[in-house]
Amino acid sequence: MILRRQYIKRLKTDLDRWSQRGLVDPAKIPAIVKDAEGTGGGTALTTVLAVLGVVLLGFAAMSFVAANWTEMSKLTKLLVLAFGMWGSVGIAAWRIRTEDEEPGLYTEAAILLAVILFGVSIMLIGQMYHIGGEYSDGLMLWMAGALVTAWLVPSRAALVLAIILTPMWSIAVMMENPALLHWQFVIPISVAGLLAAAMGWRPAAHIIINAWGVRFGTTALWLMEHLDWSTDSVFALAAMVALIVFAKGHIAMRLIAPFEDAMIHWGLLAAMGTAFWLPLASDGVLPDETYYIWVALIVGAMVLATVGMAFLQSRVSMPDAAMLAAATVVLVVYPYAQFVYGDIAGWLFVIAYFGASVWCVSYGTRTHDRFGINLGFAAFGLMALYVYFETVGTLLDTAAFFAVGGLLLIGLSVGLGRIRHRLLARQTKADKEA
Amino acid sequence: MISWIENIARAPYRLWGLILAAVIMTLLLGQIVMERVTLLSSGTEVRLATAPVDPRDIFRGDYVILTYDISRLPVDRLAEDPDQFSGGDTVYVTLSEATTGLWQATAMHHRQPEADAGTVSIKGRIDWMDTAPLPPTAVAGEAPVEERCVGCRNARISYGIESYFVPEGTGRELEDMRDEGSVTVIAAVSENGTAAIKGLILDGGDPVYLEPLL
Repeated sequence: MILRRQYIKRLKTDLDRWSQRGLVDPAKIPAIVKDAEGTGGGTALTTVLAVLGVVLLGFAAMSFVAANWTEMSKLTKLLVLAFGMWGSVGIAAWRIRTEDEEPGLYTEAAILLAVILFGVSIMLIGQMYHIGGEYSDGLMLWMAGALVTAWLVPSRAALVLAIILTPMWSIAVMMENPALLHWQFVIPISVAGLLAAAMGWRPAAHIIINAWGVRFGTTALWLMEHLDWSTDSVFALAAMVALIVFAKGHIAMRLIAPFEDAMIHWGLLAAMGTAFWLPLASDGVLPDETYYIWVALIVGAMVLATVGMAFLQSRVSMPDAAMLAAATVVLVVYPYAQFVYGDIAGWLFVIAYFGASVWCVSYGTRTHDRFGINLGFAAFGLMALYVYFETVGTLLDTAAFFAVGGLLLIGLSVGLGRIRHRLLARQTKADKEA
Repeated sequence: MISWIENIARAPYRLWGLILAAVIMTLLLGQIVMERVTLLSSGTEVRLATAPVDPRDIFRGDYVILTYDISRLPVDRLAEDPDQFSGGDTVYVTLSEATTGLWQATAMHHRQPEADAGTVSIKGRIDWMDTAPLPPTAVAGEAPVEERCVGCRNARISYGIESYFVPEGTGRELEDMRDEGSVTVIAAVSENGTAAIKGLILDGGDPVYLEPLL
């Protein structure tokens, strides 16, 4: 395949030269090139065999190193690591010089291998010199190397590795220092986000949002463990943060334009998901009034401000803005209401959640977003099941419980399924007409 | 500024960028190696007695966990301001050599003290505090059992020399010797208190596992 591409490249150059000399009809050049590109199916097998051969050689080299690692001197080990890393860099450099200007699969693979070997070298040097202490330092170095490579080259593969390593580093620091809330996570993940947005690379948005999600999850656990926050407070805050992400996705900003869809979908999923768990996981404990109320008010204000900005840009309709504002108020107040009114507050929240599910379906319909429609139906169905378990289920014996539950499930799936199918069909028709 | 960032991020591959990134990563690795080599070659050599490890700790492959007599120290006896110490704090433990040739703790500080002749200051971090009884050899000039402070606060300290990688298959034997108290660690301590393992002495004999620099 490599030889073929070189041949095609050479052929194009020759054809251009010949056409200038009048030896070849310029109009026929595309047909000639197309014919040359289309032939050569017989070389596929040789390419596969060559690749297999290279892979086997690679395994042989790794096996030899692994078998003789303990006998090697430190200097030899360092040289092996250096050659491995620079060898990958060399392959990437050769690909760049001869083949790729745009992101190419093999070039990215070689760059990724070089950065992975950098991380492996950090760990092995730590082993060679018995460097104890924290893994977090090694992870931080590795992450920094990946981020620098992603920026300098630029490389998408290195960027993905940097994004994955960032929450790993943060979790390692927090495990080594449990009392510490590792705010430094924000710096590299923001740099990675900026780089991904500037690259215009949409898939990176999903990975970055999930990295933030992992971080919020660990922060929630930290709040519950070290500041004794109640489950209600933590889930309510988490839902509000998710609403900020959802609303932010509606704000038109050139830099984060590639991230809009990802922010809207993940924000909506996280908001509905965490809100679903509120009545289930509620522990009925009064929130720590010193901190929770102020944090909740600040985060709530951020939600309203973000929704307001999106509304002013006409990216969010009045009903949607009103719904989001109402949801924010409910979330801020819920932990207190749960403490004061107990189960009543819980059931009122369930009713509000049904309302939010219906809104979700309506939002998805109006914005031609199937994700919203599907999410709304799923949330409605799950909450209906929860209600069944908590109410009817406790009044029946086991057999009746399962029988009624099964009928309810079938009924739900048929009923909701029909409504959903009709909505999606209407959606598809509207998309085609557009 | 956004256009500038986009120009950088959306550019075609930069060969010079790739080479520069590789050079930076190589320099970072080189810096780790040079730091260790400098520490091992020029740091003050101290010999530390190892202590038995909780038998519930699992031997991980070819990795041995080391703890020392100085890993748990009585804060009330060694520090001038014992109430100021808590988990997560960075501490500097002053060591002096006993007649046995082993180095023992004589003081504990939050900041690195001035260097006195015949003493070394090793940097560590307090993992946690407890009040359980201590083994007898941790502190220089340890008082007899009947005079030792009951219920005093102790600090569990890590110095970055708690792990030792050994050839496959030799770790179990070394762990057993460690638990019997017949393993002594030779550590190099730099001027800023950072420590590194230079080698091990088994049964009071000649140093084994003496680490070459390269």
